[in-house]
Amino acid sequence: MTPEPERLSYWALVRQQFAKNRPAVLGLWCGVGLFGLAIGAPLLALDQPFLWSEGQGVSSPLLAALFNRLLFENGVDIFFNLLLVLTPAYAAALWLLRRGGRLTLRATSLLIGLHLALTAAVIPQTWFGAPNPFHHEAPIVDYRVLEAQRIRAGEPVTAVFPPRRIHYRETDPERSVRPPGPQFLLGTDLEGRDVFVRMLYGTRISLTIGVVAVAIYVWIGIVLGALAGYFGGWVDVAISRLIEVMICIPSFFLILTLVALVQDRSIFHVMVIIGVTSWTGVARLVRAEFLQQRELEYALAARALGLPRWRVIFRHLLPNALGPVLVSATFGVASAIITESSLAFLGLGDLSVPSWGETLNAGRLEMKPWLIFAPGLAIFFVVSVFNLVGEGLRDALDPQMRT
Amino acid sequence: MRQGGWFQALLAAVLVSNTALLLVLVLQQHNREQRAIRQSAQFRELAEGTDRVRGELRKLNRAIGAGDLSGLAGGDGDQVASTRTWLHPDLPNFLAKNDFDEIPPDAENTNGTLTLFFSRSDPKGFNGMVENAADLSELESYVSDSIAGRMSFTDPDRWHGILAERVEVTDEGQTYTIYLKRGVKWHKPSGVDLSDPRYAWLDRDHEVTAHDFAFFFQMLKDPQVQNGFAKSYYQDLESWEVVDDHTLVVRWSKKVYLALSSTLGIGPLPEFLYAHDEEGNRFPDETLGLNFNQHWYNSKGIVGCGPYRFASYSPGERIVLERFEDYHGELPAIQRIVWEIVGDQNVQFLKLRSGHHDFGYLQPSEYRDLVQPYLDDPSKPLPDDNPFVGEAMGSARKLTPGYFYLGWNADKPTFADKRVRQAMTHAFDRARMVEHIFAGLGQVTESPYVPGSPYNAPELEPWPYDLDRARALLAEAGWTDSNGDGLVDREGQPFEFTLLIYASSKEMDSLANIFKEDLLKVGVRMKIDKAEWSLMQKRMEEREFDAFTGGWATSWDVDLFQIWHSTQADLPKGSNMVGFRNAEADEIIEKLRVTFDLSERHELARRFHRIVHDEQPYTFFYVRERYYTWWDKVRRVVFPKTRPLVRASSWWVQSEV
Repeated sequence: MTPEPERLSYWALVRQQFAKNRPAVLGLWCGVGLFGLAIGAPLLALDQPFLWSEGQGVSSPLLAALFNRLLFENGVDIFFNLLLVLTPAYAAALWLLRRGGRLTLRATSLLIGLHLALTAAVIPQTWFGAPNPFHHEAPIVDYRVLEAQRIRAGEPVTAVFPPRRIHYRETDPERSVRPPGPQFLLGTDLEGRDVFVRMLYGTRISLTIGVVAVAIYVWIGIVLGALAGYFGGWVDVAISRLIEVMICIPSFFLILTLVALVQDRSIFHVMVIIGVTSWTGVARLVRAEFLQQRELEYALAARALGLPRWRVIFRHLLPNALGPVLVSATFGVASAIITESSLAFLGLGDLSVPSWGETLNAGRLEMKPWLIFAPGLAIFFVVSVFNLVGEGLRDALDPQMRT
Repeated sequence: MRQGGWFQALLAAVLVSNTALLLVLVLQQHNREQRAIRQSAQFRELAEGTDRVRGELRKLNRAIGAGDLSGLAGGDGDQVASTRTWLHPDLPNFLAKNDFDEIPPDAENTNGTLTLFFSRSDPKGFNGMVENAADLSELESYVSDSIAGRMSFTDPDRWHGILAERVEVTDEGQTYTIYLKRGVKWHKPSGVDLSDPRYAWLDRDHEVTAHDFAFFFQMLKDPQVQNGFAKSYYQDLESWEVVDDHTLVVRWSKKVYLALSSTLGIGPLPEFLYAHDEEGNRFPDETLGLNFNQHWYNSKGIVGCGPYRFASYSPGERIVLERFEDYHGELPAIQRIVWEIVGDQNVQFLKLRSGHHDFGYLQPSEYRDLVQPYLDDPSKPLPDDNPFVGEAMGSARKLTPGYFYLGWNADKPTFADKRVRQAMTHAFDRARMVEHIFAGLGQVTESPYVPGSPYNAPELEPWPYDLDRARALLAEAGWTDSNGDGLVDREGQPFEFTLLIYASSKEMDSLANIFKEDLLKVGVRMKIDKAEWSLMQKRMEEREFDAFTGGWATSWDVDLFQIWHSTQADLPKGSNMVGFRNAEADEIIEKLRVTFDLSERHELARRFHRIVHDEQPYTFFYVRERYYTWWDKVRRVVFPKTRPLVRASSWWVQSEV
C-alpha cells in the first residue's frame, strides 16, 4: 500500500522528490562511499599488521597503532580512526534507536555529538594542564622489517597486513619521484612517499575540511541571519552592514591574509579561517527567509502564546527557513574543499597532513603527470559529488519543480 | 521566391568581389614581404660590415696599447707615471695587469642583446649601501666599478686596477694610497625624465673623483645609515683623506687581513645624486644619513660608472642595462642585457626552453628529467623537444660559493649540548638527499669553506647518516625513552622542537619532511614551521627559534668573524644567530683577521674547522651546484672563480640570422 501524497510530511516529500533524481542519488551514494573510504583508509594502507603472531599469542598492532600519536599526529586522523573502531557500536546504537524502521534525526545527531566529544577528549595532549590519559604515544615498530628478520631466522611468524604495507608519511629519498607501477600504484612524490596512499588519506582531510568549515559558517550565518531577519530594525541594519562590509573584501584574499597571520598553523586553523570568512551567503539567505516567515500566521501564533524569543526563532521559524541553507551548505562543502586545496597549492597549508592540494603543488613544481592528475581528479570527483547532491536537494526543495 | 533569388545573387556578387579583393591584398602583401626580405638582407650585410669595422677598430685599440686606454696597465705603466707624481714613487704599484681578457678579444658581434633571468621578485631598492641582497650585488657588478678587481678568472688573490691606475700599500697593509684614473664619467640617472625642467640639474656629466669615495666612507660610517651588515667589515677603518681630486689615502687602525679587499673592493657613491633631494637642493648635513636611507632615487635605479648603465626598470617585469659608450675602460661586446623578473619557476623554465632567455639554469627536477637520463645513457636517442641535450645549447656545472645548513639554537637548553647537535647531524640523511632530491646538483659539505679549498682540514669527513649513533649520542646526553612513549625525554620533558624553514622551494620542504621522519625513528618529534622571509628574519633576530634552515654565501677571503665570533651572538641583528660561543674559536678568528701568511692562515682555519666539526653549531648541509645552460648564440661563456659566477661582460652574443 502506498501512502497518499497529501499525508506525507514536508521532509518525506523532499526525500521522495530527491529519490527521483538519479544523478543526485548516485552522488549521494558516492559521497557515502567516500566517507567509507576515509574511515577505512587504515584497513587498505598502513605499515602495521592486523594480526601478528610469533609462536604463541596473537596481537593486533594495527588497532593500537590507530591511536598512536607518533604515527597519526593530526586530529583528523584520530577522528576517523576512532570512527573506524566505533562504527559497529554506532551501527548497533542506531539500529536500537530506530523508530518505525527509520533512523531518527535525533539519534543521529546524538551519536555525532557523542563522537565529536570523544574525539575532542582524545586529541589534546593535556587536559587543563594534566596529562590526557587517552593521549597515546608508543614506539613505532616496523613489523615489515621484523617479519623479514623472523623469516630469515627461520622462526615461525604470521602477519596479516593491509593490502598496501605503507604509511602515508613514510619517506625515502631513494625512491623519489617514481612513476606509477605495481609497487606504487600512483607513483611517489619528491620525498618518496606513496601518492596512492596519500590520496586515500587525503580523502579524510578534504571531507573534514568541507564539513567542518561549512558547519562553522552555517552556524554563524544562521544565528546572524535569524537575528537580523527576526528583529529587523537597527539589528538588521547593523548585521546587514556587517555582511556588506564582509562581501566587499574578496574572500580568498581575506583567507590568504588570515592564513599568513597564523603562526604554526594546523589544518584546523585552515578550517576555522574558511569558516569565519564565508558565512555571509548563509546569513543573507536566512535573513530573507525570516523576513518572510515572521509575518506568517504560525509565527504570530507562536508569539501570541508568549513563547520566549529564542524558542520562536530556533524551534518555530528556523526549521522552515532551513531548506535554502541546506542547498547552499552542500555547495559550500565543495567550495571549501577547493579553497583548502588552493591554499595547500600555494604552499600555505599544513605540511603534516596529506592534502590533495599539496600533492598537486608538488606536481606543478615537478611537472609529473601522476602528481598532477591523481589529486586533480580526486578534487574534481569530490566536488562533483557534492554539487550533484546539492543540485538534487535544490530541485527537491523547490515546490515548483515537484512532479 | 523572386526576392530570395535576388538576395542570393547579391550574396554571390559580394562573395566574388570579396575574393577578388582578397587576391589583390595577398598579392600586395607578397610584394611587400619580398621587398622587406631584400631590405633586411641588405641591412644585415651593412650590419655585418659595421661589425667587422668595429671589430677591427677594437683590435686596433688593443694593439695601440692595452694599458693606456683601459688603465689596466699598472706594474709596467711607466708611460703613465710621467704624467702624475706619486707620493711613494719608490714603491711598486700594488696593482698588476689583468692576465685574462675579461672582454672577449674576438667578438664577432658587438651589438647583441642578452636576455636572462634576474630574480623571483622586485628588489626592495637599488641602493646597495642600505640593501643587502645577492641579486642586487650581481646587478651592481655591471653598473658600478670598484677601485680594483680580483683576477677572478685566474688568480683571485691578485688585483688589477679598474678605477685606480696605481695603489701604494704602506705601513704593512694599514695605509692605502689610491691614484684614480682621470676622466671617468658617472652615468646619467635613468628612471627620471631628464628633459623635464625639474630634473635639469641631473642632466649633465659628472666626473668620478676622490670626493665620491669620501662620500661612500661618510655614508658607511654615518650612524644614521642602516647598513649594519657593511659596517661590521669596516670596524677598524681609521680615516680617509682626499689628497686631491684623484688621489685618496685610506688608513686602517689595525693590521687586518680584510683591509685589502675592503679597501680595493669599494666603489664610489655619486655625491651629486645622493646628497640632494629631488629638486636638486643639498640635504642639511645633520639629516644626510636619514635622507640617504630614504633617498628618492633608491627605488628608481643605480647610478654607477661601470661598463653598463642602468637604462630602465619595469617593476615585476625587467631591468634593462645598456652599454655605457663613454665607459673609461674597454667596452664589453654585449650591448644590452635584459634581466627579467619572473615570479614562477615553471615560467622561468619555459622562457629558457623557448629561447626567450638566452642563458639560465635548470632546477634539480628539470635537470633530473631532461639532462641526467642522457648523461647516464649516452646511447639514448635525443628527443626533438628537449633542447637541453644535444648541440643547440651549451652547459656547465658550477659549484656556487656558499653553503646551506641547519642551525641549532645553542641558547636553548635542548641544543646546548654538542652531543645533541651531533646526533641531529647523524640523523640528517645528507648524501642521499643531495643525490635524489637535488638530483646530485651539489656536494655534501662539512665546513664553512668552499669544498676542496686548502682551508679545510683534510682529515675530516662529514658525519655519516647513522640513526644508531644518533640514538647513542642522545642517550649519552641524557635523552632516553624512560616512559616508553616512543619519544626520548629528559627530566620528564620529551624531545620536541620546531624547525623554521623559509617557504622558498619544494626541495626545502622535502628535506624537512624527510628529516622529520628520520628524527621520529630516534625518538625526536620535530615540527615544521614554514615562514615568509620577513617573518623568519624577525624571529631569527629575536632568537625565537629552536632550529632553522639557512644559507651563507662565502667570499674569497675567509673571514669567520661575522658568523662565528661570540660577540656577534649578542649583537642585535648579528649573524651568529645560533649562539656559538667558543673561546678557542674566538681566538682563532681574531688571529685569522691579522694573519697574512697563507699557510699560517690555512693552519688556523683548519683548527677552526676541527672545532666546528666537533661542536656542530650547524649541521652543514651542502654546497649547491648550478647546471647553467645557454643557447648557442651566446659565445665564450667563461665562469670566474669568485662571485658572481655569471658575468656576461666577458661573453658575446651572435647576431640574429
